[in-house]
Amino acid sequence: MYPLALTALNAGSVMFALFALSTAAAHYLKLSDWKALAAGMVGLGVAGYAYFWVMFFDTGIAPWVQMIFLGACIILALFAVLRRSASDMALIVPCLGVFAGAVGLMGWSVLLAGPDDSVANIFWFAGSRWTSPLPGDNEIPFHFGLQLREAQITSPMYVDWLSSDRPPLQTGMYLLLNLGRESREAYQGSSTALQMLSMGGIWVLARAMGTSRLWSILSMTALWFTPLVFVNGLFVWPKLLAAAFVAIAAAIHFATPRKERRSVMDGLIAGGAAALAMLSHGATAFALVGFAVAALVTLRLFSWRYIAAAVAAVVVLYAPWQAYQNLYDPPGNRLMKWHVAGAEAIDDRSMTEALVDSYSKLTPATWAKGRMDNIDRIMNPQLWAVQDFAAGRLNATKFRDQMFYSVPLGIGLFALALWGLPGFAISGATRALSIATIGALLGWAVLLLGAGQAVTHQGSYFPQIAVIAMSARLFSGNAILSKIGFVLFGAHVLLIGFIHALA
Amino acid sequence: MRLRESFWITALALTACGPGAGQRPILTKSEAVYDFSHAAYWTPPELLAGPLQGEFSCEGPCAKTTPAVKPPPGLKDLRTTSAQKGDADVSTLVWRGTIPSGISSIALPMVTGPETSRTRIVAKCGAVTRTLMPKDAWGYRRLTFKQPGASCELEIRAIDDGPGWGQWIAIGTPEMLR
Repeated sequence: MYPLALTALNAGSVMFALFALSTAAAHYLKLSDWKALAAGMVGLGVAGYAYFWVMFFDTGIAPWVQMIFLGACIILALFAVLRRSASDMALIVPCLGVFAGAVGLMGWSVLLAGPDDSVANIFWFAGSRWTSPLPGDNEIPFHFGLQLREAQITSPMYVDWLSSDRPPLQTGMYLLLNLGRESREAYQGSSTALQMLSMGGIWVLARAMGTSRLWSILSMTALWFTPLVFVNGLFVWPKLLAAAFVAIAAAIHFATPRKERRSVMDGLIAGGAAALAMLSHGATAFALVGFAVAALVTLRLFSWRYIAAAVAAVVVLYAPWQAYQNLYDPPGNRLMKWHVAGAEAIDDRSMTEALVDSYSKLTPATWAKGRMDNIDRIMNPQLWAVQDFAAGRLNATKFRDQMFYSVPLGIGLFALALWGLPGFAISGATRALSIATIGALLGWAVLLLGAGQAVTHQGSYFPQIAVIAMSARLFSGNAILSKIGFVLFGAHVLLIGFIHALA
Repeated sequence: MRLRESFWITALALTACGPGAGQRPILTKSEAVYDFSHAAYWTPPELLAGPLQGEFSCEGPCAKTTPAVKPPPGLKDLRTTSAQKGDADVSTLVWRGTIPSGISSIALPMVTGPETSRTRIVAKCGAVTRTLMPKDAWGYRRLTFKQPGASCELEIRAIDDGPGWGQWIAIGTPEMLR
């Protein structure tokens, strides 16, 4: 129960800070509900990132900075409660969604755990509760935080990983928002809550497309009931956190009509969200490259002020981390070399050298085949696993392994929406976002060098969130579709709930 | 320039150029090994550069030798909470002294009995406090409290709350590091 209590405490902290910042954005910046939540999430991310730098430069003043931040949140939340405005109150739902998502996931994971799933080692529990044991990536931000607090960063920092190999956002947000004594359990609770910001991300995306409030809530619920969230919400390599910020960038740029004006504030939110996504996990780059192409295809370039604001936000936020990678603990390019140049082993080659070496070995035909293999890997339903599980030849853990690796199985019945992705381009409300999602998938399939290696955890997780959000938009469109949607939603929840109730 | 803008620019400049900016060296494996299970840094004894100036006091029973676990060679001044009643003794060992201005990192020799659950070490230097998780073998725990430039008063409290079997703790005089 100890991890559950700490999850409730730290999810409360995340929810509370998010509510304070979002309502402030709604009131003082006059933003709509979804844009206010987006601004609140970006504000929270920027605060966590800034706190990382405070810890890096001076651990002595860090507690004061934390106290000032939390005190400011208390005051802002108090103002919101006293105002009692409808725009503020509308933001309670997604903030509660983040809290309920975290507590619900930890509660489900702990309370339904079998005798072999001990929480004594919470990191092991998180990495083996829903699948066969995963490697220790979920611990890396925790040890980075400890080393920052100790003002002693080692190189390598974690086994053979440098501190510069993994981006710092989750570390900073955890250190800022953790209300418990520093411990593995507190980190787990806080980080699970941070992954649940993906609930906020899908809500933003759904509302931006004009989805009804009911279906926006159901989109959060549907996302929660996916193997993607069960695994990645507990195993806290910060990929869902990254996806939450990608969803915000997509919402601002692709989810509203092209004729709608984009302001400088929109640019700051979109650019800030894109940078924060990159500062959560580098695999985000696959989606962002796809977005750039989709923006050109859909002629969504908007005003130069908007673009300049977005670029400025990216540069201001990302440049310091680039400096850390290149100057403090170089080279910090291991993941990028792994994913984009296929160089899994550590070596001294630069990114360019690794790219040249890898691509020079490929013929156009083998390169093209590799891309097709990646697309096949992304879209393949892995029906053999479903059949084997139904026939009892695959136990629940082994089946969940397959759900973890497979993109379609990882989103349950919403795999139907993934396969029907081009269909969303028929409706004006989802057209641009569907093209951006296709761009994100193609960016992943093309840039990930390894042939047929595009399994879920090598990607950005954005397409999965986007197809659920677009489905919710579709279902909220009219009464008949809504009824079909309720049936699909109910079946999805029951099916995924059942599979995750099995030992 | 308006007051509000000046404030933000000053805050940014302080963050970028403030205390410690750019002065923190990264640790290599030859300087310290990071122990994941204890979330601690252990320094090799060959990097020790002499004891810090300071003195021990005991809040409760204490002794100057640890017969159960042989201390590392060169460690002469230590205290343990395992005194006349052995593991049943409960007390707090206190070391107070100064980290001189030119030093930023120190090494604290420490060990506990096999049952570590009710022992802890709290080290405080100026505004910085660290709570340390001991282990049941002698080791030199590396600590960084400040940047070089100003001295600070260091207080180390090794607390043994447990009267049960294996519940004891010992620390030695902290050492400067090369």
